Amino acid sequence: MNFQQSPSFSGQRVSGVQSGLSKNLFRLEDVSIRFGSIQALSNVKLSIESGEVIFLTGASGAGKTTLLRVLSGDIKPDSGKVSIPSPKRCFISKVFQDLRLEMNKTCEQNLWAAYDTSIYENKKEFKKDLEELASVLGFDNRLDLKVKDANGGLKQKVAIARALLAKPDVFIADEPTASLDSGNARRLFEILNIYNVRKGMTVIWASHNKELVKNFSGRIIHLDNGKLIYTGHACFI
Amino acid sequence: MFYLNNFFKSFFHFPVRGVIFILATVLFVGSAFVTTKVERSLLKGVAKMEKGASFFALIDSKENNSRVARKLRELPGVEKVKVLSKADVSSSLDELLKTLNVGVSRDLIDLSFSGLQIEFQKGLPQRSQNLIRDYLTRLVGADKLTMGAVNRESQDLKDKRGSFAVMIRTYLGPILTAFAGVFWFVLFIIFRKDFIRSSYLSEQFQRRSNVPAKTLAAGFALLFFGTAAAMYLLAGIPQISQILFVFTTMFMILVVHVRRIEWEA
Repeated sequence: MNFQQSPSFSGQRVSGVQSGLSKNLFRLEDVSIRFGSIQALSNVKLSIESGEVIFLTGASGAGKTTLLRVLSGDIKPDSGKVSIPSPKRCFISKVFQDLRLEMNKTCEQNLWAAYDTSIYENKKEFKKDLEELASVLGFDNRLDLKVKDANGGLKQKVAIARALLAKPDVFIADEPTASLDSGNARRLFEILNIYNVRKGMTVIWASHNKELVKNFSGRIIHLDNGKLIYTGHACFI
Repeated sequence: MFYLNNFFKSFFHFPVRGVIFILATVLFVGSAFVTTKVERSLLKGVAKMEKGASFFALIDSKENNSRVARKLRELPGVEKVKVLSKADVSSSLDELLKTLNVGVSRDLIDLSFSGLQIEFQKGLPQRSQNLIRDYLTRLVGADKLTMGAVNRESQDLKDKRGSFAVMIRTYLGPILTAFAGVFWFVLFIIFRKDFIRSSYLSEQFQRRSNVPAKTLAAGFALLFFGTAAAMYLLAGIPQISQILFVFTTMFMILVVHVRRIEWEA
């Protein structure tokens, strides 16, 4: 199986959103969110362009997940303005912290949740992509394993593969490497990088592991207690 | 087709669950159709409980009581003639003595009688009843026959039966459909988790929106109209109020699902 020759990974770099949108995919202006007594986000000002790779860093409870949920359109802010692309023009695929897999189904059955007839010509094409991605992520021999019997790393890989098989314009992942060792985490980032370079996929990746992300190219957005502390290239951190 | 497929796939992920849910749906929708039939058979049963007036007759045991019974059965207006055994006569004699109110001890009465219980057809006029009694007197001879008074059904019993019939007509349908509805709703709540999950995943990883509502609309429409068509062929026209109740229940569930759903762990 040649990852490089796969039709799903081939082609020139194209815009993640091919419908003539402005370059700014996401724009947040003075966004604040409070959950009871906890200030989850405080006056966050941020814009993300199409095709960017963003690392969202910060300690646990810094507001990373809340910010991702705002960007996904799952929650609305208490104050401030949020501009996110319409789902019809820009498809966002997510890897959730709790993974949201169907435990009684096999890994492969879980991946079939991403079989969208509007982007895949037939099941054969989807199956081919599925097998390639499983092979690249290193779980092609465990596709028949029930998710409830899988270890944490495998579950995470299945959740990531499912999100990628949806061929999104924007890939949002909340701690996607939490259960992966550094080798697998690095491999995963390389795959996301290929999707970013070849397909123009915007990647927004939340991680509390600053050491891991500073080795990669991309923009870091660092949060602390709901406040945006730093935004800039990873190599300057 | 995707939505219909999603509906059946999520409910038949565990086949037994799927079959139970389909049967519950058929029961729910079908309840609106079978009410008339169940009502009719129950009312028929109630009508059967109604009896015509009757009287007892004691005939000299030397007379051929079978012949007398046969002759009586041939008469118009006679519903039933029962030849009573000696034990029956004994118990009927008590009743007869009570009816006659003669104050004679049973021990003093000659028991060389055979008995008959003659039941008139329902609603037979008094005049016709008297004619039948006269015929019996002529047939057996007044000296060989003792007849009891005609027992008429009490008004109280008639009223009770009447109110029972009204109760059946008023409440049977709604109760039947309500029970089937509660059963169906409980099953839906129990089984909806798989459906919610698969719909959620379709919304998250496929370019689709409002998957739960569309899935339910497709599934319910097929089950509702499919069952209704089959039941119409088998049982005829449904009770309009009940079929509207079934439709509204399903529609309300569908409306509740026209919203952004959350992952149910």
